[in-house]
Amino acid sequence: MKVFVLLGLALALVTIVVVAGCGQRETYVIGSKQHTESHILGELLAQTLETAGYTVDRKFNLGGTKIVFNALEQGDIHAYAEYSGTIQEVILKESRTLSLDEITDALAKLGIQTLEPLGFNNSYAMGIHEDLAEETGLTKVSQLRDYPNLRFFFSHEFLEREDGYPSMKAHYGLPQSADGIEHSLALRAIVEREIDVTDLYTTDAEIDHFNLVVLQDDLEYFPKYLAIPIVRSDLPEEVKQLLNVAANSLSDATMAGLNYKVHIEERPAADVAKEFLASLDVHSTHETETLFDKLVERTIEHLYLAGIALLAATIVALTISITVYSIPWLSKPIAYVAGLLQTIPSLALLALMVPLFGIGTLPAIVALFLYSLLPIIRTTVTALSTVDPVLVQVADGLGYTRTQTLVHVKIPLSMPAIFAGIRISAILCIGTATLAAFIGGGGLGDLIFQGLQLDDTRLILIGAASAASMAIIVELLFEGVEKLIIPGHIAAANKISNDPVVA
Amino acid sequence: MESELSHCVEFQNAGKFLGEDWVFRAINAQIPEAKITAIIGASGSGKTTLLRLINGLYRPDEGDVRVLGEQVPSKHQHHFRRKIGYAVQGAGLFPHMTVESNITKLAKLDGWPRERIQPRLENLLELADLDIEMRERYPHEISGGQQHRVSLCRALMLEPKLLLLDEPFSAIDAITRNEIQDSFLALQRRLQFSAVLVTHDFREATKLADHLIVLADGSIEAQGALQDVIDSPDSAFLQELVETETDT
Repeated sequence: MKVFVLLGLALALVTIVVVAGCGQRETYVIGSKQHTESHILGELLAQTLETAGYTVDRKFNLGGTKIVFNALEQGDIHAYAEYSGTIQEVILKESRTLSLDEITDALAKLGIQTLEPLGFNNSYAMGIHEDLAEETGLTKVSQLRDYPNLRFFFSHEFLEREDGYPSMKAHYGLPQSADGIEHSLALRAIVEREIDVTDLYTTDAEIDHFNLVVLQDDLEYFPKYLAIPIVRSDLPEEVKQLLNVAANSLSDATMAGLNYKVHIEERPAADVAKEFLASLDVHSTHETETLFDKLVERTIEHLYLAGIALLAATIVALTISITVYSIPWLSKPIAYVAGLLQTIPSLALLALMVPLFGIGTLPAIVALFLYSLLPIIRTTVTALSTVDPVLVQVADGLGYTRTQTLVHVKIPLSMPAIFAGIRISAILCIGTATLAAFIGGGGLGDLIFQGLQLDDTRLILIGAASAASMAIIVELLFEGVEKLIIPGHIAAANKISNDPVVA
Repeated sequence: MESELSHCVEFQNAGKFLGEDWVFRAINAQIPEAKITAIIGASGSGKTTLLRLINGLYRPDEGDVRVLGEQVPSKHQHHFRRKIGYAVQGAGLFPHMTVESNITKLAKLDGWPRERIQPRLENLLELADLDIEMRERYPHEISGGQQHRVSLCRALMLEPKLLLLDEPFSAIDAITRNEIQDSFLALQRRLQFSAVLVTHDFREATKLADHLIVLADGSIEAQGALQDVIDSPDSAFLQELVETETDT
């Protein structure tokens, strides 16, 4: 029995070390958030370094300011573009408007350096459809007070941040309450008139495209959101200089134009960034991945995430189950804890891993691992503790030791149930791994997030369909392996031993 | 005459407490070597409990049980149990193992060499009237009667001096039961092991046993050589058993 425990622990440890080893950096890591603009700016920074001969690892589509900034603080990424207003409100939690110098000083204490602002101000704004503007005559935010029935839907970040809706609501004395929605979905919904008001950025490509009207911030609520690359202070000066490439060269209009090319013309952010860099005399040789390359790469990442997590979960769950199945006072709390892990929404579990393990594949694998434990533990403990008691008693009476009974009787007879548990976990892993992109773990979720960001249904479908096909293929593979490993008659034989005439 | 025989099992003031009550107390009994002893009694009389005291599946709560010249050990019982064969009602074959594995698994685990296992297996299958080809089959592929024969072979594989049988033939049809009982008798006469058979079937007891222990109401009503016990039924329960039997 001890051998099993040790073996399991050793394997789990090796897995974790190997995975952690993959996070070691030789290269510079550039981050970005999940919206198009952040993505383009990330490409600008990344390609500038690449053109100068550095290797760059892109951690794009990270889920929200806190995750990206934490990653920068912890050294998981080295640079990304942030907005002055966001730094002040979300990172420094300061309600007073800070000057750029004050922001620079405050970040310096955290080991972060601000580079030169890029030139544009991407402030929050309230957007409505122009038809609605015409019907109501709305032009200013303060007029929203007169239309309490309007449906307000805001991005999750805007709903929750310090300078977001709650304090704006107070500032303007608005009566409406608001619900959360993903930004790209909000734009579609507003065109289809399913919602009325949402938060926009002043450089949004969609403002013209979707015939939206930006309401004037007449009570001057929104602070400035100047885009600034922020980097770790410990970067070499040369690298910092390179990252200043686009200093003061992007106006609101230029930025909106770049956003338009990506979002509306559906061109890859990398290509758009490359073109813009050319105008700054930086000639990037970056080759944009084709959709096929992307799909292959993301599929491999996805398999890697789900595979390692499942392998580790299987080893640990089987070790735990075999150790505790016969001790109800221990097995019940363990099943309970594993069950509790599963009640945590998968996105929340992923986010919880960030403070512990940073961003990237490791936290994603740990979260998937925790998520996969329960089905295996539950089915294995149940199967092992419900093996036909007559057979156990016979094995005992004949002189099988406890371990021999376990290995030669209980485990073989529990194999169908154990396999079912692993199978459920595998499917769960593949499904949940689509969320790994949220914390920079990669995988097919990257395509889905990008699709959402670019309002590109094809990309969303490709990502989702690939993940679904992977789940189906894995399911079929498991069925095949099960047939190979478990003799087909075991189900029938089980029936015989349960048959009252014989038993 | 009985007392001159040597004994393979001896109960000395043995008692067993299960749940909230004593199943039996102060049991004194001796089981003769190289004979078939039947423990007979109504359901719930403690027959199976008494049998399980012999291979240590139960520990006595008072008194002593001595088996094959030693006290039933409380630790490392598997060494001890491998000297004692065991078969239960319904055969209890492992469904995921072939007939051969069912019979020989423990010998392999015990470190028997192949040259010793194969002849023993073939010998047992022959003695139990089983076709040698049958060893490749799984339990669900053979008849109920054959399963019981395999179960006997499994119990005898490690050449035990003592065989414990817990109502082994009770769940099969009368004709098959008769055949297996005959095979069992032939096996015992040939191999000369001691056997303890728990049964509620008086007819089976009289057919198979040389020696009888009659259990009723938590104590032994009678014990001794089969004919002696039948000839002098000295309790109401036994009287009833004998009469029912002669009626049918």
